[in-house]
Amino acid sequence: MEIKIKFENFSLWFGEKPILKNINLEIPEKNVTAIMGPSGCGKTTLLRCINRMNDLIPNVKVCGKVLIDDENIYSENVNLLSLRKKVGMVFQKPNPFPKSIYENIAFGLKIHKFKNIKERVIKALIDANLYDEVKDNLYHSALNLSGGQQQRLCIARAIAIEPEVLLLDEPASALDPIATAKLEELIHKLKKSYTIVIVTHNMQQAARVSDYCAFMYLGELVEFGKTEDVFVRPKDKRTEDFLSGKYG
Amino acid sequence: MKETHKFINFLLFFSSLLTSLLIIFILFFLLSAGLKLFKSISPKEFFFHPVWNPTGYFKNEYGLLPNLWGSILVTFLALIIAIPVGIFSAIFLSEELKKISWLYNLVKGIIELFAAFPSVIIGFFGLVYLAPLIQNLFSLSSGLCVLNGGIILALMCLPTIISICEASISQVPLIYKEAGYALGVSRFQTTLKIVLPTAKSGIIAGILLGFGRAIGETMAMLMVLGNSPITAKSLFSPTRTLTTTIAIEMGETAKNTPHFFALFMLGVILFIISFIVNLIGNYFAQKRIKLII
Repeated sequence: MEIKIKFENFSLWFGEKPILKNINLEIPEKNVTAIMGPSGCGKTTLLRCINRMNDLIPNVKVCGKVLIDDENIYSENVNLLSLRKKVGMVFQKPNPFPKSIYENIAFGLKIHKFKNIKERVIKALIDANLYDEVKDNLYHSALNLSGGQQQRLCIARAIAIEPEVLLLDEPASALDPIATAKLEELIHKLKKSYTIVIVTHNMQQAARVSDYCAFMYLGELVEFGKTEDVFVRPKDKRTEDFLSGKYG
Repeated sequence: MKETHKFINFLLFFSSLLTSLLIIFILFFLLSAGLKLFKSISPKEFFFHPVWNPTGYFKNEYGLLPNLWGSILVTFLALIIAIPVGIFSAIFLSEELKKISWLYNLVKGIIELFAAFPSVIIGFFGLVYLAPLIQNLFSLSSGLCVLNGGIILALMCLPTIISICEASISQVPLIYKEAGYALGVSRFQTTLKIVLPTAKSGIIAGILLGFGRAIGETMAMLMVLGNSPITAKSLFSPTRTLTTTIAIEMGETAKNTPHFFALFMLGVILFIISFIVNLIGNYFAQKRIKLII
């Protein structure tokens, strides 16, 4: 099994405050890796390191390496735009642009100078299990869609530009159970083509969707392994307490 | 308790009624005086005659066009200057300067202060500094001209445009920008293609309210336009606007003469223009608020 993303002795501070402490993590290719942990443990920050979205926050300091395909994305000569084209992201709150459904997907395609935009938009919608629901309203505002549909549109928008990695930051936290089920079904389908990293504080969700699972606590990576191993035989006391619901 | 409540409600209702009645009375007063003009001259002459010469030797001429054209020319020149400058400043303020909060507050404070600047002082600046500059730069006989008026007016409507555009750009939720960045879109493209379209209603509102400010400006225009009642054919020609003609001539005209009524009619036209523009501007401002909520 190939390793797609690798954290090597990676630490991160917001100002003087340590957020991530010496993370070592290997994320396998074309699998779903879940990062779970209680709120404030740094899991979203860890995810946002993979496409360097943390760069937007002032006073961020990092140390160590993050490698994607053996290339350190924190080295000086990395092109942020091509990194983010390669590493797509879907956010906690659905955030389609206030444009039409079609334009939402076509936007990234046009910026990255793809050809056959119309076909690609439709393909992205089909891949995101959304096409049948919106095919008659492609030119209506994306803001009229339901939360679950908006979130799948955001996934369609992300996969349209052909990324290799897909980062999902608690994508179901604002969704109802049915929309969540559809989203999880989609994640299951997408892992054949993409390396997916999903952050969640919902451990049942982590158990349902992921093949590998990381548990974080107060900025440290406590445990990482195959999901069934982590859930059935946690090695660390803290993981066991989290899984048994002692905190969360 | 309930009585006090009722009384206060009545008081509030009464004051708002008073304000709206006042505006309706002003309009009524303007119209009733203005329309008397058409007893002496035909509407066709007023609207289409190209000369404004109310104290002519042989004939008095009351053509709207030179004044209206002056107003439109100066206002549009001002907007051509103020719109790009205003939008770029608004982007710079909200996207860049906001990171340094003390400087941001300082600059914003200065811009808002500028909006409250007495227009006579800005006009004074145009008269004393800008006019000689334009005169020398273009070798003119006088620097009091359309160009001077446009620049001064641009300065005067910039604070309105910047403030409203800035507020509306700042209110574009961060999640939209993040979505852009996460797609590998550069900051420039994200601002141009996501932030600006999202803030569109607010930007249009800012421009229209800036226009409203510009078309109604009197004192500064009086000082920098040269005040010849002619149809300006170039940027270097002196001209008059609806507002300056009223201001200059109202004090010297006899009551209840055609001249007097013609000035009121100019006021009616001005009222209609600013009323419509402000109405549309407020519509967009409201729309912006709805979008954000």
